[in-house]
Amino acid sequence: MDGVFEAAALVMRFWFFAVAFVVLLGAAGISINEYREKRFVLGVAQSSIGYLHIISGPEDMMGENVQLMYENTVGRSRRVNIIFRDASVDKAHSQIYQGDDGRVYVNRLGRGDVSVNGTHVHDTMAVYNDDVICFGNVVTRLHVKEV
Amino acid sequence: MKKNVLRRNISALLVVFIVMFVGLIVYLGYAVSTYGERWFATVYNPRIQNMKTTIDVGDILDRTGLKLYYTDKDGERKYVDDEDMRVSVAHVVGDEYGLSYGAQTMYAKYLYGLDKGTITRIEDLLSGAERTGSDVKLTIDAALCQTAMDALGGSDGAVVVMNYETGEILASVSSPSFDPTDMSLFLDGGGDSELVNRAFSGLYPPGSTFKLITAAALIENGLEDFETTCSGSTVINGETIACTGEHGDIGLKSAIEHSCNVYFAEAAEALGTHAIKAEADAFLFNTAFLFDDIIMEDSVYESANNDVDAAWAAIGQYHDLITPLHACMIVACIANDGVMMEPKLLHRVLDGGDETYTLEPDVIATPMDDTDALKEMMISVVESGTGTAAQISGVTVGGKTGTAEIDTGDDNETAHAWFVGFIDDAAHPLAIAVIMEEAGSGGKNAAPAAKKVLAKALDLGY
Amino acid sequence: MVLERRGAGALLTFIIIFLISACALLSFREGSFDAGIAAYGLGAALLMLLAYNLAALIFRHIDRITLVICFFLTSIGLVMLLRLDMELAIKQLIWLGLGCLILFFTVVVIKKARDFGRINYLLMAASFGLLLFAYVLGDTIGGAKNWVNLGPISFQPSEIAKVMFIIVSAYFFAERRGRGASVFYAAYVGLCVILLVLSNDLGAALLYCGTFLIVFFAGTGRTLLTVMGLGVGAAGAIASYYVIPHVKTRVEIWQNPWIYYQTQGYQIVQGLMAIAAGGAFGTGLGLGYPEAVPVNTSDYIFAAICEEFGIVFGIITILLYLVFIIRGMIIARNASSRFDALLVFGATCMLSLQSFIIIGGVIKLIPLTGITLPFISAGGSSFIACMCLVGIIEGVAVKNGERDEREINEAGGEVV
Repeated sequence: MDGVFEAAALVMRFWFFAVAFVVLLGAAGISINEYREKRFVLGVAQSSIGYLHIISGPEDMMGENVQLMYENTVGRSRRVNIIFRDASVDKAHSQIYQGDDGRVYVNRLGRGDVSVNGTHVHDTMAVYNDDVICFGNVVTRLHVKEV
Repeated sequence: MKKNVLRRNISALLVVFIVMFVGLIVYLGYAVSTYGERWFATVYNPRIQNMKTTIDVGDILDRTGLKLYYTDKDGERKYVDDEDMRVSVAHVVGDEYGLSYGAQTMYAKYLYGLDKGTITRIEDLLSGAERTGSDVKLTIDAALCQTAMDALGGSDGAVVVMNYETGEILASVSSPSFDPTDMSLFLDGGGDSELVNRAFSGLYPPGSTFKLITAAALIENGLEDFETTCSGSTVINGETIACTGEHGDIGLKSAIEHSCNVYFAEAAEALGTHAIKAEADAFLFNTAFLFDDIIMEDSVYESANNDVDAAWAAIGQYHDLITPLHACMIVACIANDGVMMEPKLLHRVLDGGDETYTLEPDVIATPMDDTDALKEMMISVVESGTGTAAQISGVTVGGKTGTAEIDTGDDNETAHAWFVGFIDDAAHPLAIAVIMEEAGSGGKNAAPAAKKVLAKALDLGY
Repeated sequence: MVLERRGAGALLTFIIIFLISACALLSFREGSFDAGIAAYGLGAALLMLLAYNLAALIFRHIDRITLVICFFLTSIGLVMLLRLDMELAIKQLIWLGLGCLILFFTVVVIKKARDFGRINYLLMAASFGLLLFAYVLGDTIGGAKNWVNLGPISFQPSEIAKVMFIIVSAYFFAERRGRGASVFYAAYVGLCVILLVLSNDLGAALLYCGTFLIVFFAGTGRTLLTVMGLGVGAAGAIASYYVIPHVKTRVEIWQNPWIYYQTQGYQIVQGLMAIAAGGAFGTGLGLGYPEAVPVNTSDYIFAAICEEFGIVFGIITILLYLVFIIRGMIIARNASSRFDALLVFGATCMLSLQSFIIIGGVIKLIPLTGITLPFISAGGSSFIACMCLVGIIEGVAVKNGERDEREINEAGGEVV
């Protein structure tokens, strides 16, 4: 019995090393991943001014939140930063941005419809938290980040 | 912004901590891999004592296969029967209490089977076999050791014989010695310095044997044609350095032959102390010796900062210190065309029938390219100089005598007798160092002892 | 935009596997199965599982990986103690349970506190009082007066005081507190260190000094003053070398312990032999002879670990401490207020300095001082204090997490 214990202990040296090594790698690996992801997400979060909550629009975006940066262009084309794949949305439809005064504005770029809480936007309009903004048939609610 | 500064400082200090911890890891790895075996193989290690009860310890043999410390058929641990032989190899073999630093402690790893791989050990365990250690074959020849001990004739001191081509130590004795079968005196805390292995750990002033290094320095610096006139003494900075005789006009070869102090004292001035130190360092003075087989003391050569001390240093006094083993290594290097081999004590390790370790020679320094001139000078020392007592008929012997002055403190100035030499024959590549404490003249006392030992070595076929 | 909260469930599983397998092996050490050890292993595993899941449940944003690293380090300690001294192992398990409770408690306190305000003065008095208590009433164990015996319980006041020290230091460096307060704080630090030196608890003195200087530098950014402070510290150390014979001995045995083997160097030599005996992968659990090393259950436990588990395992342990430290520093960087940042920073510094000093001493990189290895060493006060410090770190981590979640939500994202 004694010999068996000794043999087992000898073999398990490598086992213990392996387990410790896995724990170390795991801890380090997860830490690195977590750090990177956090940095990225928090970076985006910190540089955003709020988000648009999609009430109705393209199916794959229903109920989602779209981050808003300082300047955002809304449209159907792939070259804008907020893409709504909907026929009622122009290629470059509208812009939402933060003005120098700190307020958020929305404007109209093309011929498409832009309305805020039911009111049509002809040129540029200031918008506030909880406003319902429509881009063509896409209905969104604005959430402005509290400073 | 205060916060950014704080963040930056935190990051900076994080880097500091990372460096500190990496340093910890690096040091741990380095220290254990370099010193680990030495830490383990110390005499204080209770593990070694513990293991004796559970393991079938291996035997210690000399190079001819003679059992020096073994388990006999009754299971008892025994030393070699012949008392004289036993005493002469005592330091190399060691004792069972770990009081002396011999093979029993140094090669515990092999003797207790600690070097076996995990798989082998598991196989042994599961097959229920007794845990056995491996047998250790040393490079020494016990008969030669016995002769060496004899040759010292009761003087305190040491003898080391090496094969200068491979670095194998053929004999190493230290006197006074002890009988490992009777350690009672030492276990009670008594005894003097019998347990000290003077061959590896005894530091002595090299005396005139150091002139070989000074000569090497002259050759390496292009000053081999340096000449001076010896009138029996010389004065440097007001202090008189006496010589062994009045040698008249003298060059390097004669200076070595007759061991002229005046020549070398003045040569030291011409060379400058740094050149001599550089040569000494090339021969591994002031180096930390970290050999696998052996633990030996480091030799010392200090650069002096005034001419008088520099002169004394150049003739082997001042603060110069050397072990007999190192002296043998140096003369072996000169004999081996300027290539210094690592001293080896472990010849083979045998586990059952398998050889798990085979000695492989290692080069540790190449301080000189061409030692022919130096060899010639050393041969003339034995032929017609101070070392004629070392002549052996039928072979060419080269050497250097030394009479190292020491101050014993009680107004009595006496000297250690040195002789270092070699046999100039590729079929018999032997180098030897002999030191006899307070025995006086090297030529008169150490040289004949060296002759005796070398003659026996030739007899035994080395 | 989704941020995933990282769990450490897989890691915890491996740790439990480690614990159970080690206990399984140890239970056969005496030849026949020892149910006690197996039960111990299961008990410890259950405790960790419970603590982990409770923590994750109660505190949404607790740093689970840091927690798990602490558990692994603790397991290593538990296994080693099981092998060396069953009684201490059981005690340590109790401390683990208590420690987890303290951890939860501390997290809650830190979450609620802004900067402790006036309470800091109370803490200063309390910690100073504790150190004074140790100096006056302490028993000298191992050359240092740092244990106080109160009947059935004995504890180390300096360990508890160090937590208060961190909180107080964070407070005083968070904002400019006025000249009077600063002088008061400086005097407090000086007196604490002097008390520790007088009690001969040089390891703790070094720890307090080092942590103070580091937090000072981080908090004020005055490089010049910090370097001067280092100079003063170094001068003090050199002076102590000449004045206090104890210090001189320590330095001498650090340089060459073998000469002093019979007396002071004994511990270091035995430690080195144990480490060397282990080699790369160790002698095997239960097969070495760590009993030969003095104080092998607390200060010198690292040597015992290196002997039976190997140098490589020892290095992995050091690296785990390093991961812990890095995570702590990141939490400090991300803290919202200066107080929180300095709090976590100080706690992390203290733990990392402590680990460095004792491991460095055991492997003879620096002179040996008598302090414990966090989480691994046996010892209630030390373990509780370290759990408290982890609680501080986790508390701020929770605060950070909650703030981050708010920010991400405000930006339209989600934390899962």
